[in-house]
Amino acid sequence: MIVPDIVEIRPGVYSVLLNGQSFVIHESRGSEWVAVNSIEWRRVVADPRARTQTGAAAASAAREVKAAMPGKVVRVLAQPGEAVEAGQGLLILEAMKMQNELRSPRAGVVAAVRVQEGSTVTSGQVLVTLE
Amino acid sequence: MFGKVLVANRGEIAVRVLRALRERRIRSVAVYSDADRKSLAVQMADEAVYLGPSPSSESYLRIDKLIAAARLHGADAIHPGYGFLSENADFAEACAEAGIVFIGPSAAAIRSLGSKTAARQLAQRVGAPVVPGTAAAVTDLGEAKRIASQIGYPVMIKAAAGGGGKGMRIVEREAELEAALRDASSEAERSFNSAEVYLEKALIRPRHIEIQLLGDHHGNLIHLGERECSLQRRHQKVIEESPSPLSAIDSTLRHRMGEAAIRIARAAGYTNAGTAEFLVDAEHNFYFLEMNTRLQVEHPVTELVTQLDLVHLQLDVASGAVLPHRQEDIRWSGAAIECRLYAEDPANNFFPSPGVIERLELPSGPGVRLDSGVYEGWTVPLDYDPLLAKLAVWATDRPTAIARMERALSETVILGIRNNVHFFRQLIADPAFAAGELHTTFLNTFNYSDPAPPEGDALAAALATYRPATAEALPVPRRSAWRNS
Repeated sequence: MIVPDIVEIRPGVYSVLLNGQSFVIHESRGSEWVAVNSIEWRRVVADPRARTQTGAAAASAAREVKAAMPGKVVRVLAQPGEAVEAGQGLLILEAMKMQNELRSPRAGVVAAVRVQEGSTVTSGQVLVTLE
Repeated sequence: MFGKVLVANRGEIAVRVLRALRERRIRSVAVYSDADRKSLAVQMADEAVYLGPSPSSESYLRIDKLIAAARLHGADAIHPGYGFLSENADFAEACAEAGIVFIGPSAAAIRSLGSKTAARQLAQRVGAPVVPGTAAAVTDLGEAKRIASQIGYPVMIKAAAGGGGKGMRIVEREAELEAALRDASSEAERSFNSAEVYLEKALIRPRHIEIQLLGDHHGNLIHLGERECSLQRRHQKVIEESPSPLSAIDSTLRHRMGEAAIRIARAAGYTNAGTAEFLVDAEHNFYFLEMNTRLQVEHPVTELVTQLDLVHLQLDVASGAVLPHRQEDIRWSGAAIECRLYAEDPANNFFPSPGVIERLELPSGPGVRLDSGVYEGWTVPLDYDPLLAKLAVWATDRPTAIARMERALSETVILGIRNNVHFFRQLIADPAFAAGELHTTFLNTFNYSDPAPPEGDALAAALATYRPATAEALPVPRRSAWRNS
């Protein structure tokens, strides 16, 4: 059994000596993110959806494509009834001065497009639903 | 020299200019919007003026408010930075009318070069090569179709007033032309208040190489060599370097491009700092693209290899001084590389990622230069470009500079918002990058993947003995957490 030597450098920053190797671990304030030797990881357990999402909630998340931030719909790429592949572009959203393509999280059929070109959307707003 | 200068910008470039002002013992005035009250720029400036609400149309793009702020605080000059109003001739004119020096070229020079179509015509007049395309803005689809089939697909649609990749689309075939024209022109309208677009032949795998220019009000105009900016994503530069790896192969390239750039600038009566952008094909032919009539984001790499300070020199020539350097005085040494650190998610199509920077470790040490506009605890606003900082390194040669950049990136930690640090670690380690085989479509085929767990199991075990709460989180790679979000 290897006994690690761990010291807290300052709140949220740890030095770990393990088997003669040196590691530095940084934690974000909310502990949601961790960096091990400058390489970042997102802690799955800290993601409330990952912890609480079961059954119906998970299914609804897979059906809905939401806006990650406020922006403006520049183009709608998919129409209701259209079959889409996983990763296929559904619409283009302009946010932070950049145009971003929102892609389908899975293969399926578009049930509804709830916005139009030119629509201003808020963070978390449902834009497209899949059947 | 000026007694007080207002910096009409935000983020890292405002900080960059404020530093130069402090070094020249000139008093500084920062401006800020609601989102930027706690910005680094406001903290570093001697004085600060509130402009208005966060949207740039109500703050950083308001000529009237900026002129009023400069007057109120008694600033002699305004430095516009890049972006926002930096290439706006009306702003330069408004400054002149208010008796305030605009630190940049004259309104007339901005007008004659600011429109890409006008700049192309000017370049052709002085015998500088340009990419085949339309001489003027394209207004209707029929005309666009005719021109595109004449010069041959693929063609590039560009905003006449554009920059930074906004309003730009590549079109592979005629069927895509209509939608691309519409998108490009609406993006151009929103970004530049001008929907004008034009067509150009798209070169296959060209390099993007640009020439830094500097002119004074006494007829002196010099170039400070080239920057290679071929690594672009969605027409936004990602990594820049000087010299271009092509310079090592073709020793006359810098001189030939420099001469052409100076001819264009001279014809436009250009003063202050500016950049002539070129595309370079496989046979080392170069084609003038456009002139950026301002300081560039990537100016630090030029500063590192020439040991000149472009912002100091901008201040000198704007205040009427003679350029302190002649062309034959300019020497280039070593190699410099810059990475643009962005708040964006490379695992999710580089989607912007505003929010609070919860933890920040930034690199230092030999040969490292950091131009940052952020700090731990800062909230990256969603209203502006998500550039956080520019990380630049200098070393005696390119391979050493690459190794140094790898080292500097390994010292960088940004937690709380997604960022492209790891993307750069992979890119810098790519053999094709090391070989200098760069072209503007390089990143289209570069596959980023999130990191593999580093010693994950062992560390998880180690942390479990220290604090169980941390251990249960390790070592799940970031990507899997994102699959369903």
